[in-house]
Amino acid sequence: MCKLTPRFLFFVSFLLLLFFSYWVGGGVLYPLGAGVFLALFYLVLVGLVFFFHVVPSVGRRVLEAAVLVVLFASFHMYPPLALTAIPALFFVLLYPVYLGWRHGVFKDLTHVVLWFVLSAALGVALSWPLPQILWINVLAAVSTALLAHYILLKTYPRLKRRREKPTAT
Amino acid sequence: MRGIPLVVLALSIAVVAGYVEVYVEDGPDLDGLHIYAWDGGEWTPVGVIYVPEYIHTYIAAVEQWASMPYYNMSRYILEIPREAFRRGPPRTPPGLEKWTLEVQNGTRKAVVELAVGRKPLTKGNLTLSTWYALGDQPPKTPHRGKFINPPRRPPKNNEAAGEVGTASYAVSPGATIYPIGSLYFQPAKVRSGWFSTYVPVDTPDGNNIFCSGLPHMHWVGFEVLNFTVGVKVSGTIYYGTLTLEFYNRDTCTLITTYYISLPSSGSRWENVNVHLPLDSQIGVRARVYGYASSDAIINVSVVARYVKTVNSLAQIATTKAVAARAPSVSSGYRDRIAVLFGPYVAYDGLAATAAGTSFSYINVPSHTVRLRWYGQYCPMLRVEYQVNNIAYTTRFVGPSTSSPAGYYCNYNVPSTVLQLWARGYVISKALSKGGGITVSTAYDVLRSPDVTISFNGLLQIVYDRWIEPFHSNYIDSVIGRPYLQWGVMLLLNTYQVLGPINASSLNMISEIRSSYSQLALSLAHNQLDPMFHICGAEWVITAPVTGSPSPFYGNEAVDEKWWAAMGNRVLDAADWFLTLGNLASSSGYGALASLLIKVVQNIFQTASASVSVTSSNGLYYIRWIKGWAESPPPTVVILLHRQSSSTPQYAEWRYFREGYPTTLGCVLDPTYRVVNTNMYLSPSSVTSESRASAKIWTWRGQTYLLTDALTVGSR
Repeated sequence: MCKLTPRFLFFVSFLLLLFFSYWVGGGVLYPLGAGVFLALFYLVLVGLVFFFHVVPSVGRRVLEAAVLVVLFASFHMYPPLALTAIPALFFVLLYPVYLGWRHGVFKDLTHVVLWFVLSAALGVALSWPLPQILWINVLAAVSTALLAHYILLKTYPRLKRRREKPTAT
Repeated sequence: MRGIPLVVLALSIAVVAGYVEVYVEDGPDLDGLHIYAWDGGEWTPVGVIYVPEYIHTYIAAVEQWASMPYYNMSRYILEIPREAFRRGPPRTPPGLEKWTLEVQNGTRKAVVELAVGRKPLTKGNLTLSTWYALGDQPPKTPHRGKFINPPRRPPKNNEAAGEVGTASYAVSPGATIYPIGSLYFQPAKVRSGWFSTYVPVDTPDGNNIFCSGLPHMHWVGFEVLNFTVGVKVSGTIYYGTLTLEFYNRDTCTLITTYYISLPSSGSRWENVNVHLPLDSQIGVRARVYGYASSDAIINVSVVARYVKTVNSLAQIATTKAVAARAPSVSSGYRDRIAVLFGPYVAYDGLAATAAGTSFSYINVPSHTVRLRWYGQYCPMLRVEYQVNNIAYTTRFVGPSTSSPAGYYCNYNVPSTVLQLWARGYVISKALSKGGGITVSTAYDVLRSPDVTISFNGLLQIVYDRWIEPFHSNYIDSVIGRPYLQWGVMLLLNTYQVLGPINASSLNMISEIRSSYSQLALSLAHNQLDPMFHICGAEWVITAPVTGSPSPFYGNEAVDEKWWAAMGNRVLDAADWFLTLGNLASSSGYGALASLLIKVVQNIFQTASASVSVTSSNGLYYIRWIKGWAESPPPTVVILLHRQSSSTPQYAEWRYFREGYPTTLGCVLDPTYRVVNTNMYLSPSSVTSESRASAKIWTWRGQTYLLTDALTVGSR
């Protein structure tokens, strides 16, 4: 059951994100739409990082996503508040990675960097022939990031052990 | 008393002596005629007051019912001098026809002989002309009149020669047309006692002196044919005279003066025929003088009619007005009901024909009428169309089924095209500043307890207007284009969507203005609700534009917000680092980061108005989207630069659509509004503005003396 939670979170939020991206199409996003986009993205990233593990405090993660929506919606009340979108952006991008590192999903910083590099390398082949449409971009980016995450989870611990053994002897 | 001809005094005494009101029903049309009765000493003008029929009317503009007057121009009251009933006249003056009116009051009968003609009689300087009025109440007089030798057709003297008026909706090059436009004067306030004053010209820029020593002169232009003069006397004047002084504007010399006696009160109009040189610029000064028993306000409205030859279609502009929505109306227990659309702006320059028709038309959409009916068979439905509250035509519509279905009879009234007639347009302009156009449909509903009228489409008015304030020959016959003086003119083309006058119904006017170097697209509207407002618009035109467009709200340029500029710079830097790290160029986590940056950047970029220009297959799509941090602006202007290398003669305005906010942002209506109107593009060179100066208020709504397409003052 616990194993299913991150996958359920990932697939639900990913499907919603894809649908939302398809709906937006080439249009512009106002703060509420951008807030929804970022909140879904946050849940997708959390689900992606913990895809093969257990999401810590799922309720809190969903609450954080809801706060993001409220924060972006409040820009309409006081527009200069929109500057907080920048720290919110870094929060969405980095906090799931931080959680993964803290809860042992990522073994170390090299693991994280390798994930970034490998997902980029895998994506080149996949995204090259695809049209630059928002929902396709999201689909390609998320799927390659997940694939790279899976490959590294399987290979990086072995690589690390192999690298550490000669040092130990 | 100085300057007041004795003849005025004599006439006034005759008027004060009193007249008898005679009501005539089913009488001949008196339009453009001068009617005289013998008062024992001289021929005196007979006033004509058209009598209305009041119909319970649904006014679409305010979504309310009201009793409205309608005129079929065959019911009128004649104001005949009392003496005419006592003394027979001498022989009818030359050029006039003798009409005999039989007047009955109870059992008593009398016969009055009238002299009728198109050319007015004069006495000394004074023109003894017939004033016409649209009455506002049913006849109360006991005198009923009937012409016992009704003329088969109106007298022909001084009839305007010209083409045969054929129904046509397209002006063609080489055609002779008769444009109609208003001259704009301010009200003249007169004190009790003797008064004598020039009626001030209503100019947007205060310039009313073209000839030194001759202030208050209104520019009329070339090729002037005749006039209709309207006066509204608020208060009462004992007697008075209106003089129209016509000048040759090129030489600043007086051509002729036209004197007409003023009605003592109320709104009236009459036709004025003056022989003026067609190839000279004409100016007119209006003066009122007389004696008022108390303070009064005299409004003078002059409607000028021209004769022009269309040398190029560039001289014609089309303007379109569309109803915002199709009304559905319910009523019951009435003999007749009507639905009234408008009033729409009666722009100057309506291109009319010699026969009094025009090239402009009104498209009345198809609609259904549903009557509750208890009879065995459904009756025929009589539908009458009125333009400017004057009867236009009548049709009978049969029921869908001969017997009522469930006690209801249904009628499908097909769509109808009405050609705008010059008469109603001129009367409207003569009686109110600028005038207006209303369209009504009236139905005989035979006291049915439940009537529903549902329109299936939108009412549409398409005006063809003469936009050339110069001489017909102002078109260069070699190149087929106007001379360069057009370069100092701002030309306008308008598209209106007019709904009921309330905040919830759409009312908007979009305009394209063309100067020699710029093109301005403007939008004024009433949809300002924070939750549901117009947040974007798209114009599709064929005029080539270049450079980056500039959005304005009113006359204020739209600037980027300081915080949006700061946020954009930070995100640009972040995106640059991603690009530098070669992460954003592919997929994976770097692309995720890049996507998110773009989404957040979108917030900063869409905080202020954005305007984009794209082109495809010779069409230019200009799109404005309101910034989310901006309040809904009531007026938007997009300033564009014309391509100097490409100078087409016309611009076609193909489509227009507006956008409304959704949860996501501003979404443009997927369905375009079809505009399909042409407008002339000014030449790209500028020369002297001497010819163009001061003409502009004569042709309101079409041209303006400016080279800055952004700034347009009150018109």
